[in-house]
Amino acid sequence: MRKNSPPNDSQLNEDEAPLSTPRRDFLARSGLMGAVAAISPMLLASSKSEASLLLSDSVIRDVFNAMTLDTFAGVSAFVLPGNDWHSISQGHFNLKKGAKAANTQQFLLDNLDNYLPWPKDIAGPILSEVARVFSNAAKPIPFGLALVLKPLETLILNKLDEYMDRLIDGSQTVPLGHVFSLILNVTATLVNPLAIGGSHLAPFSRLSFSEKAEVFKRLETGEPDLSELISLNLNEAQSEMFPTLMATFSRTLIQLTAFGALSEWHALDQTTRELTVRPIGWDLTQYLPNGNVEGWDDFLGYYQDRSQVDA
Amino acid sequence: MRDVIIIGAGGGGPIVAKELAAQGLDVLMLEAGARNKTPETNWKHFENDANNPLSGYLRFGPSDRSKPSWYREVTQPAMISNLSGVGGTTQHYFGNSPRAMPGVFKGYQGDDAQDYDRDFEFPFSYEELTPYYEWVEATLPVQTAAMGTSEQVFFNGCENIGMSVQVTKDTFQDGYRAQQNAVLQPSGNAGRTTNKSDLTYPLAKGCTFCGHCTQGCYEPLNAPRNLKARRSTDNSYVPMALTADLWAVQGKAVTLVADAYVTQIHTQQINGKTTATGVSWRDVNTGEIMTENAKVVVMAGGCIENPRLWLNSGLPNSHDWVGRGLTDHAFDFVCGIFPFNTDSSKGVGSSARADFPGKGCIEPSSLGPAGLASNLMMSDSGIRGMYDNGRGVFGEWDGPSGRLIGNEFKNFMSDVNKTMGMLIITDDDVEANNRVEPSSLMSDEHGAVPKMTIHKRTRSQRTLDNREFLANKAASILRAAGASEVLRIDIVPLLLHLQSSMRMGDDPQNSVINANGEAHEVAGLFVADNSALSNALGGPNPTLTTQALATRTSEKIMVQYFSGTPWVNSNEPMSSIDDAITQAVLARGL
Ligand SMILES: Cc1cc2nc3c(=O)[nH]c(=O)nc-3n(C[C@H](O)[C@H](O)[C@H](O)COP(=O)(O)OP(=O)(O)OC[C@H]3O[C@@H](n4cnc5c(N)ncnc54)[C@H](O)[C@@H]3O)c2cc1C
Repeated sequence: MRKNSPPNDSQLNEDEAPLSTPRRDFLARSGLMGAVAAISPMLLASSKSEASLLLSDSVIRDVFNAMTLDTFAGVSAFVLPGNDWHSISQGHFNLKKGAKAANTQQFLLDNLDNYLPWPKDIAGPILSEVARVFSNAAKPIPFGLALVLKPLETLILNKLDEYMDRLIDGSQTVPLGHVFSLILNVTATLVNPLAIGGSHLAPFSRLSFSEKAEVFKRLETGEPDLSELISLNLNEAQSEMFPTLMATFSRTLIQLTAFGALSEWHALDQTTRELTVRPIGWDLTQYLPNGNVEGWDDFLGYYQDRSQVDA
Repeated sequence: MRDVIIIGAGGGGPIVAKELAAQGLDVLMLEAGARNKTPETNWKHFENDANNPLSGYLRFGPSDRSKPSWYREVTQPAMISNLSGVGGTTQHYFGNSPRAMPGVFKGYQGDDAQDYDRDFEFPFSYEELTPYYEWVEATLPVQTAAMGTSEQVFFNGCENIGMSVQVTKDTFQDGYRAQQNAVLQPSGNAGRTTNKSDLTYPLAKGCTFCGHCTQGCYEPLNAPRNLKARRSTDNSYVPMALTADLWAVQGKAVTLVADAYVTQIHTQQINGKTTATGVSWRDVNTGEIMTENAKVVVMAGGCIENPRLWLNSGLPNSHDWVGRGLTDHAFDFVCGIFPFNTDSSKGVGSSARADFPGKGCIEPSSLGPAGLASNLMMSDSGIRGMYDNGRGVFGEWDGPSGRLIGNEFKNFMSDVNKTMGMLIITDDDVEANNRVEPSSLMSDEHGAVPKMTIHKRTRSQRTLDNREFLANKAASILRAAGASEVLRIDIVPLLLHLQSSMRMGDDPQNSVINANGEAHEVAGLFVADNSALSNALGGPNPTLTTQALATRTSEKIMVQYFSGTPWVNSNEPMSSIDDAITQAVLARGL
């Protein structure tokens, strides 16, 4: 339990209890440490007790949200690039608006967190297993940041860890957006270890276009060593399910991105369900040039004038 | 105690409801999803708002859109596209209503008899089903589809590769044709203007070519519910069922309860036989459990939910065939881009087709950009040029199969009205290991969720060969129609057409229901939706055949359990657009 009064020693000790290595490595590797510093810059000049207060539940939630949104901005730029910074920095862009301008990252977050029910008895073990497997090759956080955050590292990791526990245990279903983003970011650092630091918040967004494709390839095809490792610790049903989940996850993400980006979502007032502006996807695809219609003047008669047929 | 309880108000359930209500039985129809009473005000022509599989108003989930959809476990990547709600998946179907290939029925003598899945044929002849086809075709009604630009482009392609035109409903040889659609064809201003004020009923009647079948049909505006263009069951059979007392001589209106998820079928041992006695359902909004008894129970929850409900109810399954033999038409998607307009986002979802007996079917499909993009992304062959996931198949299309991404994808989508997507609808074999069973890992408030195993790469050789044949054929048609680039997506299972998971057959060793539609092992329990089909029909879209079979099953129920006599061969069907129905619908305020 966390309170708003300054923590006493025993609480601090609790905060600093060392994490199990796999979970800790996973969290460090996910880029969340860097995100914490970016979201809460005051942390860099804080003592441990101040830091413990700063890292309230809502800050940690903001960290996860910001990280997830940035990851999904990277996915948006990958699927339907435009003239935004995420597209430019991946080295694959164009002069028109893309999925990011259509706020597809928020679309993904909303849908995956709120509507795709992934029961916790599935998500829990799988997520722990992902953490274990992906963290095999430990990696340092970027040198500069590591130096500054080092004294707070355990505290921060523990806070993140608690939040993850709540993600898994707190409700009937797990907010999948966060889970997807963690998986993408950890895989990103396996594809390119340098992605642990750089211009965007999320390691995935720091990858080049072809490196992003490599992330999806790994998830979609299931690396042989990955599935071997997995089968060691999951029960039979879970290990049977794991490669499918990863493949489904990567395909779903790509598919939902394309669907959301070219739909009316970002332009629709969710309360009135009327358009506020013309959807970007409609412009990109020259769909409904004059807005929605109740019908088209496309009736050309009947093929060979046959308007009915016999048995 | 009711005469009959029907579980599910989708493509099949309402057929039994209407037929038995017209005979005067006391029928209760329970539907897990919403009853969309006022689509004209609640539905929109927006792709995400309607079709987002997680949060759209057309999804498999509770009527309260703020709640998550209902989960299904899949053991291999797949996209399930069926819906809950009155009308079921027909709420966003295209209305394509071809008859099955005669070759999939018992006693078929054609030269090509061996080209079909002979091990799992229907247990009666095609000729026996024909009057039921005619009955349903008149009731919906089914009409020959009008042509728009995209159909013209498709027909050009078929002509250019030398195919012949089919001018009958029965299919005995390769051919292309306008679809037989459960869609009222345009008259008045429909199809002739984009001006909204000219497109209201009765100025416009039938299909207005709006291009939004997938978002649910509420055109023409102001038309009574039974005169909406697309004949999903919520527009055709359900209004008839709810007004049967007003138009059938001895009719009795059906009681329809929506938001009612059936979680248990009850049985008792009667005369030494397990016999269905009723059902319990959960009110999806309040959580309350309700129970009612009936003389006959009809399962019509679709191919996924029926096996789940059966097995969660602990009903007998001696031969372990419940949920097995699921067919899905092993879909694929081939898409062309044209240097001229195809207007493919306009008109009915599909108004043209080509059939290849023994192999399957191809149809062009009209989609909005989000729907098209979604199909383009579903590849099992990875990302073209980057990885192929062990596939990357070559053929009549350009380059390897796979999905486009990045700028290539953006360029391909740069004018949705210059594309044409073709659905590959394969005649796939009944295979025991394609199946639905209750998940051992996940359950929700309605019991263990369904777990689906849909093999794609390891289907029977005939299925795989048929799919390749059709993909190549589709690419040839697109190219002959003038496409400048043709892509094959090689999609993962896209579950639009599901059949035969509770299949009908003579042999209890490999079927669940007998030739009358009644369970081999449970008396008084019938199945009357796609899951009752014996096989994949040779490829044709399944709903018309389901509805014909459900009509036949209704007669069997009436004769066997209510001392009635058959009516299809002796009576004239009442069309759902007959003025008597319109008056009844208006009188009842539907
Ligand atoms: C995009 C799309 C286009 C299509 N186009 C065509 C086409 O042109 N032609 C064609 O022939 N077919 C088409 N289909 C397929 C067609 O929709 C199905 O064949 C048809 O709807 C199947 O009918 P059904 O009764 O088996 O299942 P459904 O229509 O899915 O109905 C089952 C109903 O039962 C309810 N239910 C399930 N379990 C329970 C329970 N336990 N308690 C209460 N209710 C329950 C469900 O909520 C649902 O409403 C299309 C499908 C899609 C997705």
